[in-house]
Amino acid sequence: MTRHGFVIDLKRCYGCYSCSVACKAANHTPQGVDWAKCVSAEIGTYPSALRQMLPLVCQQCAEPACMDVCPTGATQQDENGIVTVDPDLCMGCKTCMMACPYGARQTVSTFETYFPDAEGELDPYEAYCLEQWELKNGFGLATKCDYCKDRIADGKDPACVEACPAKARTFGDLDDPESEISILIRRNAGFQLNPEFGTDPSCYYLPPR
Amino acid sequence: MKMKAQTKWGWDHAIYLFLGGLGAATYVIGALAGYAGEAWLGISKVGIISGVIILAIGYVVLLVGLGRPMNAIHAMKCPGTSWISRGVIIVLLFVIFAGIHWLLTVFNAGGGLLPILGFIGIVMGFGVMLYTGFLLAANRPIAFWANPLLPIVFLASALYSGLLATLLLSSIFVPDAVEQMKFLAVHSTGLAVFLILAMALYIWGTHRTPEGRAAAEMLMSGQFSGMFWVGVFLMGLFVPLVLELINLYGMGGTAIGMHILAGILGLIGMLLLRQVILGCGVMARLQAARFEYVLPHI
Repeated sequence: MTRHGFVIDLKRCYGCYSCSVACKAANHTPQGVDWAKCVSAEIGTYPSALRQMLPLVCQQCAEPACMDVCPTGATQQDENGIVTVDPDLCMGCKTCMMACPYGARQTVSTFETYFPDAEGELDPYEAYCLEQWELKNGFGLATKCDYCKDRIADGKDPACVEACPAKARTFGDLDDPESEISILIRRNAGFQLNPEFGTDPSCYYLPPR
Repeated sequence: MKMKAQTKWGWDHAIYLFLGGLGAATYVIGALAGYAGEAWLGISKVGIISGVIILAIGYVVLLVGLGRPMNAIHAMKCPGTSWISRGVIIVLLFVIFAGIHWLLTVFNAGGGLLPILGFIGIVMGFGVMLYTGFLLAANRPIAFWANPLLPIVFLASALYSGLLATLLLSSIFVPDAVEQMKFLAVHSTGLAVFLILAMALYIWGTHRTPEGRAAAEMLMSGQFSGMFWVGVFLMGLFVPLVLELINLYGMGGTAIGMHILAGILGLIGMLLLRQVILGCGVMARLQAARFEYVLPHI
């Protein structure tokens, strides 16, 4: 079996948000939806203060809390461990958003243009993005990152992995002990976020400096 | 680091949680009154008829608040793991049995069937009052909700608001049932005291985690403190308790206006209770090595 997973090296990430932009471009996510977020935290005080970025994607948990609470069966897990949403089943109750410890589920009820002052029709690129979003996801449902499964099927890396200039992200098979990500996790003390929630995320992080 | 509460479940959810509990409790009180003899018939009708209507309004509010209401038809698919699925099944059974009970009561029919329907409706009604507490308590990242006392608080709040609503409506529709209303008023004061104690224990029980403490602080002295102290505690519990005690022990329970005033204030307070509990749903921070991160936009 294959279990798709991510390794994100926190030593390499410097918070350029290339991943966020690449995700938006690849998945046509509208305003208010950020499947590839990047959040920051600071510790210490001057002159010993430190700032560390934390890139977030859906953790594609082996035991997804969002799937357990979903009443309609819209949240599903495929044979490779990727958690997806069926737009024809999701009723937009937002329970998954409350259950996910990682903020991976996001909803948007209406389309908002990036150019509210522009008159006339939508910019052609925005119109294209809107059309694609309505085709694959839509409004009112709780959407999520699916590790760019269409790109994976074509043998490509997810868009955020390909775009990361610092090579902080690695995508691969967690079930293969010889895969690059399995070796990275073993050699660098890779860890999961908040394991106390018992969801067994498929996204591992390598420690910061 | 300032922690953030969820904002996606707001007033529409609070109104549903309130009306769901209120409707079920009002029905249960009406159905129970049906077993108490001829003198309780008027109050029983008031409870059964209004309870089912209130719950139906609550469900309409819930459906309107959904992102894709048309897909709600699939909501019963996962009762093995989802509290919403379980809740929909419980509410559906409640609506079927309480609805038949309602129709027979409206048309003064049913005879021997009423006690049986009432019993099933009462069991399902308690299910409706409890499941919303379990629904919130199942969300582990929100420590303020993931508290075993929450279903108890929701049950007590529902029963208390059901008693107040029955008193309020009985004061208007069956004002002659003074002794019966006195009985309900005594129980409403007892439930108000119980609810104050249950809420104190509930809030105390949230102090195990940083996000639980942040939520309790938000409730007691932060963003929701005004709504909590003035709306929930003073208006919803303390003033109705004092009004009913004055009415019962100072005026012999005959002051109908006091039942109505206590009912209105108490019902507003119990709606606000649902809203402050939802609004104080602080999400757990993410931890990566020595760093702690607050999730944005939840």
